[in-house]
Amino acid sequence: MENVVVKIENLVKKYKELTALDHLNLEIKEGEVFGLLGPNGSGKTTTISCLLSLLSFDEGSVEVFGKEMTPVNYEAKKQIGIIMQNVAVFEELTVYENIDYFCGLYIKDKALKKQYVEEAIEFVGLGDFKKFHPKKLSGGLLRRLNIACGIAHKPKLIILDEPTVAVDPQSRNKILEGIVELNKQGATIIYTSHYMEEVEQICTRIAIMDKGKKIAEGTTDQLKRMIKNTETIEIEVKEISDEIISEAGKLPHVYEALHNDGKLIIRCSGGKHNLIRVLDLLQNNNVNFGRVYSELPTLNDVFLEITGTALRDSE
Amino acid sequence: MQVLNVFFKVLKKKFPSALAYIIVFFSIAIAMANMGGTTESFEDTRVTLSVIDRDKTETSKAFVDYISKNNKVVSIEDDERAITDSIYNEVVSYVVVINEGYESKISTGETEGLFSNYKSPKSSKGVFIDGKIDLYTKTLSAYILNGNTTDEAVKKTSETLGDEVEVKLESFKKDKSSEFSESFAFYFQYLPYGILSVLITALSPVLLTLNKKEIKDRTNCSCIKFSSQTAQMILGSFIFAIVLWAVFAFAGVMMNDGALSERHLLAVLNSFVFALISLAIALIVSNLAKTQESVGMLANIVGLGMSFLCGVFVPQSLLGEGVLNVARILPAYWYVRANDMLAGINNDVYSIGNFMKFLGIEIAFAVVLFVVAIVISRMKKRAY
Ligand SMILES: Nc1ncnc2c1ncn2[C@@H]1O[C@H](COP(=O)(O)OP(=O)(O)OP(=O)(O)O)[C@@H](O)[C@H]1O
Ligand SMILES: [Mg+2]
Repeated sequence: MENVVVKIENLVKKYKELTALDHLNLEIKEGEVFGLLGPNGSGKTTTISCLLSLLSFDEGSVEVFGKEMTPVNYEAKKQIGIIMQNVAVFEELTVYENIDYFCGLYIKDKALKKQYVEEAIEFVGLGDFKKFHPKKLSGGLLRRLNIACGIAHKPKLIILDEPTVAVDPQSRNKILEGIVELNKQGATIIYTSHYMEEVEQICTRIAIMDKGKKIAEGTTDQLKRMIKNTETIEIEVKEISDEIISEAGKLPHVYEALHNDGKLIIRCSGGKHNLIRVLDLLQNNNVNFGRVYSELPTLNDVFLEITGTALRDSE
Repeated sequence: MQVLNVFFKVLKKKFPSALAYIIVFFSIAIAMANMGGTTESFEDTRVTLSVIDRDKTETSKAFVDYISKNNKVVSIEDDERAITDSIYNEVVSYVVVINEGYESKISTGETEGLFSNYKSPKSSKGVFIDGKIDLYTKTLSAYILNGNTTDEAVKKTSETLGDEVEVKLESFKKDKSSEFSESFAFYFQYLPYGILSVLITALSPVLLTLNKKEIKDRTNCSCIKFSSQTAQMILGSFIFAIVLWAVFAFAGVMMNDGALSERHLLAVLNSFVFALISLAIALIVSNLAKTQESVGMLANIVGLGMSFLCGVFVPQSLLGEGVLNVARILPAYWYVRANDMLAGINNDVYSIGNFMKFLGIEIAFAVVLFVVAIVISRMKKRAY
């Protein structure tokens, strides 16, 4: 299980003056669902393109299945399935013909190909749409077709670049479940997204990217432990004096307290009973309050703390 | 052969957009075949014409002699109304009016504005008179500019052209046996427009689809070799171009009673080389066009533009010198010239050697265009 499937070392990619990838290092092991999380323009697609030898790069090296990846490394290509960010299907062909074409680029045996195509259609749930042309499919179904085209040949390494962009929640869940299923069947997955919930939901390990750099890496838990924020408490409070706010800021484990938009926001690092202490303070001072929320940190908080901007800002 | 297979599947979807061109092409070809009359052939160069000499000098008289030779001359009144009437009533099909000042102009070597001619729109034979006049004045002015007096120049011109005209007429007469009918000549003259338009509108969108970045990326990620991918696309393009040409050429021959003399075969060969040129142009277009819509636009610009300039629609003999000089840098010009020579309707004397010369120029164009297509696609590949 510890075989390294992809090894990216010191990858530098420049588009004229813009450095899209800045000394990027990644190591993806067999059996992982590896998440590449980053806001728009952080370099996810560029990473994938370099990894697949679709793009040349300025420095560094890429190894796939233990061999240097080149445009002619057909041994590696045979075992890779890609689902790119932009839907890549023929408008002119039907659902079936599309999957058949892309599968046929890998599988020569006719009977086997037919079986694989049918299985892929079954897998993404497009059985009723075999004769449809892509134009007639909804956004979600089109994305599923796009995925089917990439996985029909049963690759060992599946790379998905934001496969759920502009997809309704139902299709999105179906897609995410499918990815987990493919992983269970033995495929290693690389999954890029700027939706942290998705990445948190399915990925076993995550690298967070910003401006072409990897800024953090680990499991969800590891990432969250990296930051001091472990709990954010929000309480609806109409009126509160500055003194009480500053008193709240002095409570144990609290490192930030502020009143904003009718809400008292308290950020805590570690510790227990934080919420109870805050509520006690409010009650003792006769402060009226409404609803209370307590949130554990998200990957967004991780991103926020490291970069100073929210992951979602750019959406 | 996965790529070749999908090539034809996509082609099947794109082909209907080219149908409009095919329909237009064949309607015109059929109309021409019915109009052209089958017995009349281009070799018959005698034209019924009138000459009105407003200059009335020795020089202009020499011209009248020249132009009257081998044509049936009818005299009519020098009156605007009388001239147009006689053309309209088909009394004559060409009226040559020598403008006053002809002698003084030509003595300086000037060849513009010497005539105000009228011709019947119904007769295609006017082009012979145009050609003859052009040839005469060009030769005459060349002698004058070379230091001859006007009288000497007129004499030398008559001698030179007198012989040449005889020779030409000889060869025209001999051609009668070739039965190169007007409609056959026209069909093949018009063919570049058909082949070029259909190839661009049907083939370029297919290549555009196959080369779309997303699809190309996905294909490039698979285990199919890049060279095999390209080879299959080129093979598909060739098959399509050749089938298309074969259909057009076959239809052309059939519409003319299946006549296949040496000249007919050469005309067919000529069209084959032009089909290859069209293929190269379609390849270039598919490399340059960014969207399917721009393909349609380019098809019109290239197809119509080149056809107009090179004498596909309008006989070359009716096009101005300036236009023809530009047209020389376009392959269709040489195609039409070869075709006209086979039909015996231009000043080129028919011989296999001459034909091969024109065909050679066309082949050179084809080679250059294919190289350009390859270079552009290489450049595009490197660009990202
Ligand atoms: N072909 C290109 N030419 C120039 N700059 C490019 C090109 N492709 C991408 N970039 C730039 O490189 C940076 C990284 O782009 P990339 O597409 O890899 O980001 P991404 O993380 O995939 O973003 P998104 O979430 O929008 O897909 C961006 O600033 C982008 O503008
Ligand atoms: Mg991207």
